[in-house]
Amino acid sequence: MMFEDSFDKTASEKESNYFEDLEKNLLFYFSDKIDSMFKFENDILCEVSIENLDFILEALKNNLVFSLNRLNYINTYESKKRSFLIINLSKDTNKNSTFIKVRFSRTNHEFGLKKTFDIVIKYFKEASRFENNYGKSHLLKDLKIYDQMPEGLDCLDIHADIAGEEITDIFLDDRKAHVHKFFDFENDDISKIIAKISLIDHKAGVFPEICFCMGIENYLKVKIPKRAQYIRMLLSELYRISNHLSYIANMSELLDNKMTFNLSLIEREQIFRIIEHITGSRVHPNFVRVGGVKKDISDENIIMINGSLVGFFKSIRKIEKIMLNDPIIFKTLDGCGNISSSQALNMGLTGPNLRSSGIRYDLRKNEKYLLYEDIAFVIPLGRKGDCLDRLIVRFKELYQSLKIIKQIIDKMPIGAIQLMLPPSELDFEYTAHIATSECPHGIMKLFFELEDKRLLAFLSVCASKKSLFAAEEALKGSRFDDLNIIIASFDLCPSELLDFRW
Amino acid sequence: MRSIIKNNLNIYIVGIGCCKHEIFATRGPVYDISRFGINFVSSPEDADVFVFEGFRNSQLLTRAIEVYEMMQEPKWAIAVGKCALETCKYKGEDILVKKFRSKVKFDVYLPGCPPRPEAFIYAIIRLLDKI
Repeated sequence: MMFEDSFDKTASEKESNYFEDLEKNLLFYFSDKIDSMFKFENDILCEVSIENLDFILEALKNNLVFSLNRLNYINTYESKKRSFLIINLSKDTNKNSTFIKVRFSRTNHEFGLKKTFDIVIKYFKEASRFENNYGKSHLLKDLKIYDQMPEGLDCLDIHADIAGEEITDIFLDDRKAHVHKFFDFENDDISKIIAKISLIDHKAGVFPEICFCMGIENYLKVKIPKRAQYIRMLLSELYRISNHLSYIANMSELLDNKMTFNLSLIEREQIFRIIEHITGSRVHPNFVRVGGVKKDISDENIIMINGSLVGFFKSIRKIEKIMLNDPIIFKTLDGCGNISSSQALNMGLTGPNLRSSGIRYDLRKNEKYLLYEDIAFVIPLGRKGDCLDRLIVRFKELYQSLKIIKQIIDKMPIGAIQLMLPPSELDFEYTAHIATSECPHGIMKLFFELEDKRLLAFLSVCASKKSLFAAEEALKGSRFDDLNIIIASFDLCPSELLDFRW
Repeated sequence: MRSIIKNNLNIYIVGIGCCKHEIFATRGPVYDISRFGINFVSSPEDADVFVFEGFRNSQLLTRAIEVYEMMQEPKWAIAVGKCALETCKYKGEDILVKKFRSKVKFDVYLPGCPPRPEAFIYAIIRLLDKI
């Protein structure tokens, strides 16, 4: 099957069959080796002991029934005074992934961790990048660039080897962004966690909140009021627009186009003004609640949004015309930093970066996510996967987001905005959850464990890490002058690279 | 010399996080921080003001100390946001944090998570008064 076909809607039935079979196959092949198994909407979580890990990983990678040949994430965490390693494997993109939870003894923590990593590296070489193995940075001596001002480049040290104008080998060191355990969730209840959780993605703060609340709602098996779902969608699209405008401003600055930089920042401020009217905050909305949203959207807000949509459309069209009709910008971006469709899938890219390579995959369209099935919109696609395509896809997504907002406002149902689920009354037995959302940078997955009213463990699997690896691939063989533009074109969010765990 | 710096203040930002997102908003035409003669620079040697914000780890703190030492006198420092204020004032008692506190002398502390762009402009105006 062609790569493109596997992500078309026509093939989605086969994909869902694969996911249903995956659970049965896991139980059939490893019934005596898996300690426990949980199934979530798009993911499966298996708990295994370190003795069985080697056998399971080999089978998952090499057995054609599973074909889980892509490592998305690997990290350690502590829960109930015990240490665990979590491995995320998937077949194609992050869709329908399998989480493997390995426990190792706390008494011999260092040895256990090393042993487990060695087993994983045996089958998945890319695991070494997650192990803080940064030996390569000393080998590349031609060029060393420390962190720079533009967003996305501020968290990276660049080590490269160059031959003439061409980059032969490159290593993007994001150790500066590896911050663990900076925030303490220990004594916080769920409402306080929601207030802090938007720090994971500061460019689009509502997505971690939606993701976290959806995870708890799926566990509680509650049906959220339709109006609340629509308000969540509205906020998602507003934040998507603000993120993409910030991306365009960033690219304009690197391309020395002051006019589009100013125009996109003006529009972004207007979007923030609307968000502020609805939520009361700009960056961290703290608006989504378990069972709905905090506040209803007023008629005044709806009139305000409706009135500004045409203006946004015209301004974005203007920015697009100025940027893409400029022959210098066009020539700079065209054919620069190519990522082919097969490369994009192999590297596990998601979001607009994947779509710019011509792969039609969007959680909003391909899966049941919020109430996007009620809304008509198109998934914009690129062709070559170069910097120009990544920019054009984001422009097209802006138009689609405006179209979605228009439909949300027209179809906004009347009714309750929240189920009566006060956080103080939510009481959980020991459970693990995995939740997924489509944020502007790609697919975000949150893994968390809850007991009583406390959060025991928390891990975020974000798209920017994969985009960073893809940027490295795209940079090999590129011109040295294009370095900053290629890195910025992948829209890296520094707070997604935080490697945040608790 | 001070009057020249006051009319052409160069800022170097260290750190990653949401505060940077809001500081960069001040560069747009809506807030237009350049009307006060403020420029954002990428090399510490050219900078007059050291802005520290966002999350921290040992690598970032080491870099922050290096950057501050590379800056030439006279120099000023601003701590922006909750995370930076915790690092500068309250949280963390390890050697590196103590070293950072002893080396870097902050002139303005700007609270908020993240502080609004107007707040950052206000902090800069207060700093200009000091200069």
